[in-house]
Amino acid sequence: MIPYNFTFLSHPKICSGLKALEHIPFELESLNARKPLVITSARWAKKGLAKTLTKALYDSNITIGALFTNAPNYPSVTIINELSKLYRDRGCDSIIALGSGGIAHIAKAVNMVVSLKTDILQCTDLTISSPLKPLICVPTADCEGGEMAAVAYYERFEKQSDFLYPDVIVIDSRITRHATSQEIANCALTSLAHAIEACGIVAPNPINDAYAHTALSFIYQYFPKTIKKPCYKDGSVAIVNAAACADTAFSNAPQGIVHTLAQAIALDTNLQPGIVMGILLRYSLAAKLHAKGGIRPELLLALAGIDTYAKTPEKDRQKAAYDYLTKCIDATCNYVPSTLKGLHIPHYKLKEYARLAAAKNKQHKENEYMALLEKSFEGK
Amino acid sequence: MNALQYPEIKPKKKFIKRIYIAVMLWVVGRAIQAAAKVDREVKEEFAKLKDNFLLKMWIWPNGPAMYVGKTKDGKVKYLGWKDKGYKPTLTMTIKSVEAAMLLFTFQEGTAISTARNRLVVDGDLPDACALVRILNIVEVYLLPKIIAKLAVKRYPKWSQMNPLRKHFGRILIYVRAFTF
Repeated sequence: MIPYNFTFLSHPKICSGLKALEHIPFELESLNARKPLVITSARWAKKGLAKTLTKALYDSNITIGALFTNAPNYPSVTIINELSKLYRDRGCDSIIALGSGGIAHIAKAVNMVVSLKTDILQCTDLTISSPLKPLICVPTADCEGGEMAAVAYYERFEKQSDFLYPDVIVIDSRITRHATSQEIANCALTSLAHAIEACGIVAPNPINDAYAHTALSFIYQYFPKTIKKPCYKDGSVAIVNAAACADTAFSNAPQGIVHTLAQAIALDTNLQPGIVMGILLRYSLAAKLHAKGGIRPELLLALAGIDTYAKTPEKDRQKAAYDYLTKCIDATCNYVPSTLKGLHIPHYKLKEYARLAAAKNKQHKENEYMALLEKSFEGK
Repeated sequence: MNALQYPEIKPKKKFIKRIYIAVMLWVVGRAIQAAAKVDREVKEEFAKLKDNFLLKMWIWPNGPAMYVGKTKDGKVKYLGWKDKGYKPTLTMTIKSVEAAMLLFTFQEGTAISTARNRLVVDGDLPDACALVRILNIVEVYLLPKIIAKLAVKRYPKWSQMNPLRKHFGRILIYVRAFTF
């Protein structure tokens, strides 16, 4: 049966691989922009990434309006307003976010402020109805999920719009190879959770499945080696590509139980959402395996390839897919505890998280959230 | 926030790389002109092209560039690197100096470069395909086998280009390309 009832949008152009950074001037001019504001953090500037980006813009007509190298990891209203002022004062016409996590979300929030010509707090209630200024995302391998999706997180707000996708995503090993093993684990687990939840919905979308399966395949192939050696060029590029694919899939599917709960916990505890997702995902998959619908057997095809998929009897495919996925999660055992208790989350807080998650995402009931939290707490 | 901490940055130039690329474009341009006289295949490829065929190969956004075109009497001529108001029928734009370096240091062949989105072609597709075939032949003549293998998609077999033809053609192309 052709599942023809679906919608799908993937706006960003992905430039990945050797000398991908050098594509930026051409892409900026195609977007009719010549003066970008570059946003990065002190950490990445110290590692020389800002210099690498600046060199990539040599011999072009692109002038960097300002190279802001002090972006914090938390997208606060103060920093967004200050950067919006800097953008206007320098007459910039586009934004380059050099880094992941908070940096990308700050860039998106600044883009909303300068494009909609309003205050950031008012942006939350506004509907974005036209394209924003050109935004180029140059992610590092410490993605926290959502950088390359149609969503922006700032202060305690979450804004979703099709226009919040970056215009271009540039993935270059000179930028991605500097993350730590812990950050790679966080990035891979977030992508894994987003990809699985995107293709685990009731009415799957074939194009979305293609993105999610690509993300899963990249993670399964490259994650174990990259977590041992984070400077592995191909591996880090593959993990960020997986994050880009998973973010696109995530933008085109309803938010899942693992994502919603992890966000609620991360917001309260300041833990990295990927770490929490890694813990919750293991128990969510186990619960799904024993539930009526089970895990989609196509996941095995994405993870293990056509040979293994064809060799595995139909009735065993769900279990095999589950085994492959847990193997992936187990690769992070040195960096991620196996239970929520290991994260020192007090048990009395679980109810609050379940309530927060249920209020945010009404697709699941509070007792469903609570059941998953209870299972993940002790690891039963 | 002290905005003076974050100054405007103007892009610098990559002079040495640009000079290298300019020299390579000159050599390739002259070699195409010479090959059109020496090699039968190149001659046939050019004969199939339109009479007003004019190729512009350049590095975006500020050059260097190379112009090769057909004259009124049907001869192929390297027209230099300066734009003298030419109207190219085929424009091959290389997206950046670094992309051109990959191409002209033979780390990537024309086919791979196109596949990796480093080239933008504006003009008729058959003309572009013919030009890629011509460039491949010229590269085979200009470069030793070990390097030419990296630059072309398939190195011609013995039956397609015998060593006598190759070495004799190579001498003639070099002589014609570097003498005025």
